[in-house]
Amino acid sequence: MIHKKLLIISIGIFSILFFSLGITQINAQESGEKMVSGIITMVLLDEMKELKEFQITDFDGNNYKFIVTDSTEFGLDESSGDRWVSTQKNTPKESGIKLISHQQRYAPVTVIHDGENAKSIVEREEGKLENNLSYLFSFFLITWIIFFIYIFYIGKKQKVIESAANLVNKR
Amino acid sequence: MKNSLGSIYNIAKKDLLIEFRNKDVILSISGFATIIIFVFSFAFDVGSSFSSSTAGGILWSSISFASITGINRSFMLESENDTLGALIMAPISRDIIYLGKVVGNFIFITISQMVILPIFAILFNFSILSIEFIACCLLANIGLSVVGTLFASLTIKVRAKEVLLPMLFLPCIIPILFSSIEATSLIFEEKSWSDLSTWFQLTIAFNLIFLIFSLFISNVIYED
Amino acid sequence: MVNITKNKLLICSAIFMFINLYLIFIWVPTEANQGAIQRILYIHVPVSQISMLAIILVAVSSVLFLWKRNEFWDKIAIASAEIGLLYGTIMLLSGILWAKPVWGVWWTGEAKLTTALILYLIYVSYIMFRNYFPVGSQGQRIAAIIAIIGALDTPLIYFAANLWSEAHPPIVLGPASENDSSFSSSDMRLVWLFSTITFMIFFVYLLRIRYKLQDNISKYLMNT
Repeated sequence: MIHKKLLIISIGIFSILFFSLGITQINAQESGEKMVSGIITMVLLDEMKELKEFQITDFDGNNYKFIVTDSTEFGLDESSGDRWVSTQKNTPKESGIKLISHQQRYAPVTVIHDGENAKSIVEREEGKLENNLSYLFSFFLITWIIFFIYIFYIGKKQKVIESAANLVNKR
Repeated sequence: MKNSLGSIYNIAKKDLLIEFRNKDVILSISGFATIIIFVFSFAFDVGSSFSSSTAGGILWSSISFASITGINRSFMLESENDTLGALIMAPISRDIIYLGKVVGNFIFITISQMVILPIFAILFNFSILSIEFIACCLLANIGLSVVGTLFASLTIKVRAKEVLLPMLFLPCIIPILFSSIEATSLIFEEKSWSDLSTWFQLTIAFNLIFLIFSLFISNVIYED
Repeated sequence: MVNITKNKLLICSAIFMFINLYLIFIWVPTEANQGAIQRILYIHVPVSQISMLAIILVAVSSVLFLWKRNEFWDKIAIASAEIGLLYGTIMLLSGILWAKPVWGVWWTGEAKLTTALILYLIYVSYIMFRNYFPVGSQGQRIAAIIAIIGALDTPLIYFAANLWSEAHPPIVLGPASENDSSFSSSDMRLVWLFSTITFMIFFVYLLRIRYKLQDNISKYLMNT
């Protein structure tokens, strides 16, 4: 009987450890890529009118300059409220137009970058990634607690029924 | 055909006769619904103008709460004296019994609404005298009585049915609730029949589906 | 005799769960628009699909029970309903936690959400009914009818909720308020598929132990 419980408890501990491991892993990924939010203050296009570079000013007044590569992703809201999702490779000209429109509207954006190249340019997000992680963690914890409670409950009921059946059989 | 219509009429008449002697069901439906409407009208600002959709929501949620307590009450009378067993033993088919109970409950809910609606109209300042609104009420009443009778006959032997019956009944009538609330608010905004038709169709489809299902399954419901 | 912990299915699903966690937390890339919170969907979507499947299983086995009157189908129905409810709880919790950062609200009046919640409530009352009703063939029969009513009601509820949310468009804000796919790359779809298989195996395991428990209970009741 004891080794069953041990097995279940160890699975529980292992999975909780595993989640915390996974979450630190995400944090590490996020820290390799930095995140800046601010307003676009300059957009540089080349002769083909394709987007090359841009500069954003964050809310403390610091300027950052980023180079746009083919793999840069975009997720920007248009003034109509529709969301425009694309990559630099697919729409090299349109992305410049969208950024200029954001510059004119003073619409804040969030840029994920590795110091030099911009990886993604998205509409500034209200919910920060760090806050989201606590949601994620709480959810996974709750899921596994629910599953383990259920299995325990079934196992306990099973035992009660078995012992009662044994009593009846002995008589 | 004539015979079964006669049986339905007799069962409904029996229910109505009992009802006119003690007035249990109608008083409980209209009293409960009126109290809920009063509470809502005080909870919000009295006398100020309500939006039509809020008013519709208050009206129909109070009616649906009250009608399930009323239907429960009407079946309680049957189980107290074990008259349902006698009905089942009578040489009529079970769907006739079910239909008779549905007709009886439909009449109870409709009569109670004649009390509820004027009070609602006074408190919330909406005009309720239109053919559209009467049609909407009658359609919804058919649905409430069909589903209510079905669930009340299913839970007649269960303990704690005062809790269980609303818990089964209210989620199931959500389509009727949605369509009546929406139709009511459209009627209060004085829209035409064409705007209402989708919601009426939904209610009619709901009523037909549940009526046919209940008739189909009535042998199983009243098996012993 | 099925052993709860020494069970091939449990071992299999435990291994799959660990691989699944590795895939969800470490292997799969972070989604660009929604960020880390999108990883909840690798559990939310499979769990909700399987809970819907469980509820279909309840309805089908209830129909088969009424038709064949074989106890087996009744046991499958109750086991499946309980585990469907367990999965449904996780579905609702994960959906709420996902919607807050992504849509900006915990809950909206969107048709799918309304339908899922109402269906969940109907099956909560189904389980309550099974606990309250005295043991015996009558309770099983009526429970089967309630399960079929729930299944019958679902398309109507979905239709009504759809019409309702058209009339009252829900207000949704946040970074991913538009209706694009959350699994945009093939890697993400692969993890989703794997997660579905994992939770399916776990579902079968839970169904088996719950069925066995129900089997033991009914055997015990027959002996006494």
